[in-house]
Amino acid sequence: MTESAKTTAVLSRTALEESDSFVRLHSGQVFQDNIVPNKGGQQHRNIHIGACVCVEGSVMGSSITIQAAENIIIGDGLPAPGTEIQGSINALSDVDIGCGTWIHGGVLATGDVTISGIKDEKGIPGHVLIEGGVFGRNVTIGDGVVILGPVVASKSLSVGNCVTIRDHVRAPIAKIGDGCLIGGLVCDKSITCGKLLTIASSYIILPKNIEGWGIPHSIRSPYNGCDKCPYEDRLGPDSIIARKLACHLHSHKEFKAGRFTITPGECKKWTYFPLTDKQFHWAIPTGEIVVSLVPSLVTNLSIYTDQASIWERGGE
Amino acid sequence: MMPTCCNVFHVGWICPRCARPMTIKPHSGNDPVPVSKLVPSKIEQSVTVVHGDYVQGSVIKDSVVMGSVGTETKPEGDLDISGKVVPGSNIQDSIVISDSDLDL
Repeated sequence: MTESAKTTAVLSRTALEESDSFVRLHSGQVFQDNIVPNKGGQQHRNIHIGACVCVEGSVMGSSITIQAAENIIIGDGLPAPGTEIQGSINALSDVDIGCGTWIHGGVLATGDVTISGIKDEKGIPGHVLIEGGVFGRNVTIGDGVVILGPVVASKSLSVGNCVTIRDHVRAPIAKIGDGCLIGGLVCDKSITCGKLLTIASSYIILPKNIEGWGIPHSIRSPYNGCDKCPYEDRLGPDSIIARKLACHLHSHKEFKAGRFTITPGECKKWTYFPLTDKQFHWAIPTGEIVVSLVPSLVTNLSIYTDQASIWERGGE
Repeated sequence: MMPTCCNVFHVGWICPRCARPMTIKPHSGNDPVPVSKLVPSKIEQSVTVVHGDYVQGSVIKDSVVMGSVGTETKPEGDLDISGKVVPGSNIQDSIVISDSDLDL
């Protein structure tokens, strides 16, 4: 079958198949509506979204699967973009998101959320971008994923390598990989972090059991070392805060053969959260430890917080 | 693969080397677009009320420019309302309660 015939075959199928228990949106289709319940009971349907589709709305069901992108040729021989969900994903059970997916909204699930890592295969969209937040019971985020909202897990969170989470991360049990950039961290039972991690917030909240922290490497705190960046001429003047957060002089990231390699960059001046210096620790009423380079006992706190918050705002 | 620029992968939403924002290819066109949340669209809302305009109601906007045009200087005390008429209320993000609503 020729390539154009394959395309025709794909496009000629019914875009959406529905039954009382299942919904399937076929690959390469644009569906100009929400995929949501229209009557009682339909909220329990399992939903399968094919590769490289566009849903011009939200998706709601029981288990929701977004298939990983494929090399699909659409009109004029052009490859299809990855899957685009212009609304949110809302599931009463689990959500599984393959690579090559862009969700304009967020992901909300009462079950587990699994987000695939990015892939680098020629002709196949390999990105994963979620513009909203992610909430689930056990949340797993693969390598290189970009999430612009907060990530909250009610049980556990596992974050791969080189993941960007622009907003805060909160989970009782959290495991974060190497070379990530996250907005903030609140964790009250168990924490494990990889190397060359950046947390934009001026504070992190960690479990009360300090001896149980699995943080063998320093975590970069852009406040306050990056305020005095010695490489400012290489990171400015445009969008300097956002560029410093993603700083390639702090860590160098390579993605080859589906694997990330993260190595220290040339900058040795970056500041880190004082994880071992108890004078910078203070406990909140529930016992968790706040670690911050902002002194806890100062009268003019606003001077510090104003300066620190520029990093939390991400440069906008 | 999206978070790649200057031939290398990066975290974040802007390439630290060249400041180019992250872009993505949508279904609605072939050209990559900046991710909307990262490059917010410019909202330019303004109302210009100039000398001689008669506003029949209220003007509540993000920004209101009050300027003066024309060269003729009118004596104080007499306001000529022969200029452009802006009908009705021009309101945003507010509630306007008229006298009748208050039942005075």
